[in-house]
Amino acid sequence: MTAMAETFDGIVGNEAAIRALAKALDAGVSHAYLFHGPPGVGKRTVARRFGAALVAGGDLVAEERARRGLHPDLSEIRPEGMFTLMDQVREVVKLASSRPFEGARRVIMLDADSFNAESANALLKTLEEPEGETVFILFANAREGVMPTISSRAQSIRFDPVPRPEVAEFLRTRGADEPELYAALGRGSVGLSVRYAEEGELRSLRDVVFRAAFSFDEDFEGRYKVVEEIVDRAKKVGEAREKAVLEGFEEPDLRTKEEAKRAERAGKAARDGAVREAVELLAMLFRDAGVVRFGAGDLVSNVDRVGEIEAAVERTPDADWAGASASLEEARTGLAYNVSSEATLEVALSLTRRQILGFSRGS
Amino acid sequence: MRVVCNTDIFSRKLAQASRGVSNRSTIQLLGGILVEAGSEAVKLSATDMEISVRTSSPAEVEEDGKVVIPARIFNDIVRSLPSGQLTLEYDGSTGTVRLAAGENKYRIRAYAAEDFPQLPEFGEDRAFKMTGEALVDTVEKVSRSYSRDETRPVLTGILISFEDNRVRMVTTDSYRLSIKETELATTFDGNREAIIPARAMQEVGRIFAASDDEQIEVDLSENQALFRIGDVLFGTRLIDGNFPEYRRLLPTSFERRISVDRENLIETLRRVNLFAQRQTPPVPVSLSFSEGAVEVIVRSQEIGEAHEKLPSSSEDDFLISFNPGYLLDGVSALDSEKVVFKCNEPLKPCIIVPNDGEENGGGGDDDTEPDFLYLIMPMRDPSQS
Repeated sequence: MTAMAETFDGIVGNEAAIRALAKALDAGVSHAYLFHGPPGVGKRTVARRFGAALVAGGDLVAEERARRGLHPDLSEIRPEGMFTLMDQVREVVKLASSRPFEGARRVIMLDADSFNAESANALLKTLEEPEGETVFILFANAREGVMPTISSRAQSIRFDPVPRPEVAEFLRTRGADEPELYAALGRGSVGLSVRYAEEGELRSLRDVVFRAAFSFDEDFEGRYKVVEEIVDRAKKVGEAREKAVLEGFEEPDLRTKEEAKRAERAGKAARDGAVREAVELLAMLFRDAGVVRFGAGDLVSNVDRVGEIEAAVERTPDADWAGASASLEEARTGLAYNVSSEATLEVALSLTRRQILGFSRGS
Repeated sequence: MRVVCNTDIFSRKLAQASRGVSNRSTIQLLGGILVEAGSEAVKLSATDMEISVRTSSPAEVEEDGKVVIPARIFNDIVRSLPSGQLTLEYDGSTGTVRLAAGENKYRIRAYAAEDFPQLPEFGEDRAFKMTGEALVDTVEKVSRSYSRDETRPVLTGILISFEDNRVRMVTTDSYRLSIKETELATTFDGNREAIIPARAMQEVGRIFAASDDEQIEVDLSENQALFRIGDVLFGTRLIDGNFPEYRRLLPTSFERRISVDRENLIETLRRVNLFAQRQTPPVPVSLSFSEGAVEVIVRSQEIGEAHEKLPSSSEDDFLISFNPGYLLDGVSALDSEKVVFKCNEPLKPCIIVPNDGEENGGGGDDDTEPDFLYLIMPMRDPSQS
C-alpha cells in the first residue's frame, strides 16, 4: 500500500481519478483506460505514473526509471501533428502483441483525439482483445469526442480542472513570486500555471494581449500592428521551446537530423499553442471585464490588472463583454483548422470590437 | 571504471554487440552500448527493445564500473584505430568516457548505466543445448513463408516447438505455409512452444555463421527467447497471440501425387517466371499435367508467353496455377532429387514435399511423414474462368 501511495505522490488535484487508479493497482487493472478531461489538467502526468507502476510491477528502481521515460515496456505514442499516423498504429499493433521486454506487462499511451477513421479502425481489434497483458491508456479532451466503438472498450477516468487554491499552494512550494495570479491564469491546469510562473515569453505574450483587448479605440492599422505583435510573441514562445528541446538532447554534438526535426516540431507546436493561448487570454480578459461591470470584481482572474480592467469598463458602459468573449469561438475553430494566425486574430479583434463598441457608438 | 584491452579484439566484439543497438528509438540511451567492467573482462550489451545482444571482450580491469556509451561514435572511432592497446576510462563526475590509444585521446559523452533497461537473465537450469546446424537449417527452411505484414504480428513470427527429441518450426503468411521438423541428438523433458520473430531467428543464423561453435544453448522463458552461441548471448522478444490452427489446413487425403525432377523444375520456373515479372495482381504460373509430362506456362498480357515441358509422373490431364514466386520458394526450399506435388481439385490447397519416403511411387497412405512440407494456395487461372 505504501508503494501505491508513492506512485501518485505530489500530484495536485483530481483525487477521484487517482483513487480509482490506485485501487486498480491494488485490485487488478482493465486492459484499457480512457483519461478524459480538458487539456493541461494532469492526464499525461498521472498516466506516466500509473503506467510506470504497471510496467514495474513492484520493482521500485524500474518504476523510477519508467517515470523518466526509460522503460522499454512503457510507450507513449505522440501524434505527428494533428494525427496518429498509420505507421504509428502499426507500431502499436506490433508492441501490443509482444511479450513485455523486462517488466510485468506493456503499457501504451495514445492520444485518442488524434485518431482518424483509418487509424481508429486499425486499432479496434487490438483494443478489443489485446493479446497478452498490454494495458492501453487513451487521452481525450472529452469523452463525447471519442468514437463510441473505442470509448466503449475502455474504462473512463474523468479529469477536472484543479481548484485554484490547490494550484496556488503548489506554486508557492515551487517558489513562484505571484502564485495566486499564475494559478488564476492557468485556469485549472497545473502545467500552464507553472509555465506562467516560469516562462517569461508567455508572460510577455499576455502583456500584448492586454493591449490588443483594449485596442478597440485604435484604427485598423493600430489593430493590425498589435496582431503582428501577438504573433511575434507567440513565435518567441516557440523558439524558446525549440531551444529547450534541443538542449534536452544529451549529445548536442551528435545531434541528428531526426532530433533537429523533433525540436522544430515541438517549437512549432508551442508557437501554435501560444496563439491559441492568446485567444484564451482574450476570452478571460473579456470575462473579467464582464464580472467587473456587474460588480463582482473579486471573481477577476487577472488579479494584478484590476485597475486597467475597471478603466476599460468605465470607458465603454454599453459594451457586451460576454458577447465579446463568446465571439471568440470562431477564432478557436479557425485555429483548430489551421487558418493563419494573423487572419484569425484580426477577425477576432474586429468581431469583439463590434461587441464592445456596438451600442455606445450609435447613441 | 578503467580497463585496458587489445584494440583489434575489442573492436570486433564491439561491432558484434552494436548489431543490437537501436537506430531509431526515441530513448537516446538505447543508441548506446552498456559497458561493464569486472573480473578480467568487459561485458558489452545492446538492445533495441526487440532484440538484445551481449558479448564480452577480455581486458585488464584496473577498476570495476559500468557506463553506457553512444554506439555510433564509439564503434566508428574504435574501428578506425591502429592495432595496439586501448584504455577506456569513465569519469562519473564529468559524465564522459576517455578513450586512449597511444597518443590518440578522445572524450565521449556517456550515460549513466543505471538507466539501461534490465536485460533478461539466461536461465541455466531451464536451458537446453542443440546443434547450431540443426537449428539454423530449420529456420532457413521455413523462412520464406513468414509474413512481412506487421498488421498481423503473429504471422511475422516462427512457431517453434520443442518436443521430445525434435524441433518443429512453422510459418505462414496465409497464402502458404511451411513446416519443418528436425530430429535432434538431445531429448527434452516436456514440450516448449513459442512464437519468435522470424527476423530475430535469422539473426541467430548470422551470429552462428560467424562463430566457430557447433552448439547453441537455448532458453525459452515466458517473455524472451535467449540463444547462447559461444560468448554471444542473443535475446529476442516473443510474440503474443494465437498462431493459426495450421493442422486443420492440411488436407488428409489426396487425389493426385505427382513427382517432378526438382533441379529441372527450378530452372524452368526461373525462366518462365521472367514472363510473370512482379506484377500486381501477380500473373500466375500454370502447371498443365498430362500423362507422363507437365507443361509449365506463363501468359502475360504485357510481355508475352513462356511454355516449357518436363517429364512428370502424372497419369491424367490436370491444370493448376500458382503465384510464381511462392511456387519457386517452395520448390527451392526442398533438397531432395524430386519434388512431389500432392493435390486435390485445382483450387484446393496443394502440398509440396520432398520425395524421401515416397519411393514406392504414388498411392498408399503416408506411413513416413516427410520432415518438410510446403502448403501453397493455388491461384485462379484467368484464362480458365
